[in-house]
Amino acid sequence: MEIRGLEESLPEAPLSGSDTVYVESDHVSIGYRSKRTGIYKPACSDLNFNIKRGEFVVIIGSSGCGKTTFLEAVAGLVPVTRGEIRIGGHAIKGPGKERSLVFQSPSLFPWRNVRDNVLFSLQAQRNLTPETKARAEDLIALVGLKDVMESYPHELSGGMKQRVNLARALVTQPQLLLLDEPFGALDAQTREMMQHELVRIWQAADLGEARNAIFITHDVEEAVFLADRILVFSKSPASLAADIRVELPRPRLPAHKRSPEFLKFQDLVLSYLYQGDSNPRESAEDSR
Amino acid sequence: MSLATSDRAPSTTESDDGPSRGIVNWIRNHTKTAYGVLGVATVLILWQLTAVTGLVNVTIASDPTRVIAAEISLFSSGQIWGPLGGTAIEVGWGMLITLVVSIPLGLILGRVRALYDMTEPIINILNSVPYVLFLPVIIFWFGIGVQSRILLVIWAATLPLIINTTAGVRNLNSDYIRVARMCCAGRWTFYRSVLFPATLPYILTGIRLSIARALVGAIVAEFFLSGGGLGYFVQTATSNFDMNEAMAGILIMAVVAVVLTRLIGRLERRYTHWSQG
Ligand SMILES: Nc1ncnc2c1ncn2[C@@H]1O[C@H](COP(=O)(O)OP(=O)(O)O)[C@@H](O)[C@H]1O
Ligand SMILES: [Mg+2]
Repeated sequence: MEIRGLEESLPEAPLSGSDTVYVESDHVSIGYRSKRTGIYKPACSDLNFNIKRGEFVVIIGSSGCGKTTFLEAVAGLVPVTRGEIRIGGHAIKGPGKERSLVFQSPSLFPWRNVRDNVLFSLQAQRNLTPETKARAEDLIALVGLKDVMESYPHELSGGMKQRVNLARALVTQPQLLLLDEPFGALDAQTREMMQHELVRIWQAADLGEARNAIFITHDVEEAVFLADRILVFSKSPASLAADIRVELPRPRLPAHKRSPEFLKFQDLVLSYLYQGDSNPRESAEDSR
Repeated sequence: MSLATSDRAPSTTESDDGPSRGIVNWIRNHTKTAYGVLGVATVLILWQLTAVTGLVNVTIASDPTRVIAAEISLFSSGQIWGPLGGTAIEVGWGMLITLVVSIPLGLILGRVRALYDMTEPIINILNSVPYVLFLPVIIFWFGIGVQSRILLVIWAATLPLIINTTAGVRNLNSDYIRVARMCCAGRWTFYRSVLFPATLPYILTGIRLSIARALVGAIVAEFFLSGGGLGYFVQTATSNFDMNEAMAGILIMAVVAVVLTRLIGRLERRYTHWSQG
């Protein structure tokens, strides 16, 4: 499949959001220079696509292909080597208040209880008011942690920690939510529940009209369940292998994962994911 | 920001079977402490026995009952408050200045690579030279007043605290830095609300070492500078052959050291419970 320059594909109507471009990845290449050898190793090469206002985009790719690198570049934590990432038309210079990142590991502060961990992002942005504090408590309740508000991270399960992580990211009402395999370390059951919760929160949380998300995963089912649009990254260094619009109705329920349409998208994603392999996976069921 | 406030006091099982049953239960729950008390009691009894049987000369070695008697007279006459207050002022000011200077300095040295590389060799060399050796130089520069004694306390106490704080910062989980950056935390918020609490376990360990060295520093300074304090008190008592008073002074020092160590232990349990497991 050819890489589609999204600038040309504007006529295609998104399922949600408007036609305004929000995130632009303009021929972006990112790499690391080894401190030991000084050799430059590319992690992302020539990523070129746009994300529209309101889209829930899932990036999928095999492990080590450069997904985290790209997401952290959007977050402003990793500098871009070539090209430019723009948000709302402005080139990224570093982290910004309009963006939040849910880290792959929960990375909560162990010396703060659940409430204070969530309040940290507000505190850091000097936005601690009775109003935002109340919002934090609502959000903690929304992610189902009302009863452990005073507990410390070491007293929580992995799933609970990721909920705190999510609440900490959401409480600043970001325009763009970045999630790096947030459920990757969870067991299958918890993971399924959290995906459902995320969809629910995504729809329920008071995030203003505009809410963009970039969600990273290596799990095909998770990708199809969550996405308005899936970007498939090739093996390292990551380039855009496919750009798939998931035309499944919302609200999506876990039961839909067994539906033929769902499986069709899953197979489509899989076929692109294994495209670069010498022994590509057959997508036999695709035709059914 | 709120730190932990869960106090985990050991449960003293009160039973209603009378006091003897209570003591038995207490011993069962505190075997370690009970053995410690037993050890101290054994030493005291042996000491008393050697004195009573005339095995050692009481005027040279004193004995526990005489020490207690001396203690009572020192406190009832108020004679001890001068020396105790003298040492308290040296250690108090010395530790206060040490804390105010060393903790921020350690945090900054741990964060700024160039400063760390520049200061690390110097700090290690200075730390390996016995600090008492600097006392003549301090006296030469600052005279024999209280300021010299406080300076020696600071000199004794500051390096372990700087070294521990810096080590803590350098061990900082890089995830915390990324979270702080992502949340757009300013420098002050980062230092106060991320770096300081994350490093607190190391800082408290440093303070524990610092206090021990501050006490030694104060006593040594008093030996040399003869300006008062418990060290001077014990020295004077010994030269007057008043071993009861000398021993009483040492006992007070021991109590002060234990109380301060206990205090740090409490702070550790209160504020760094999250790092223990
Ligand atoms: N801080 C770093 N320094 C050097 N190389 C890195 C660094 N982070 C990631 N890489 C390299 O970049 C590549 C992509 O990594 P990453 O973006 O974490 O992949 P993914 O998230 O898709 O698993 C890997 O080969 C990895 O070794
Ligand atoms: Mg990753």
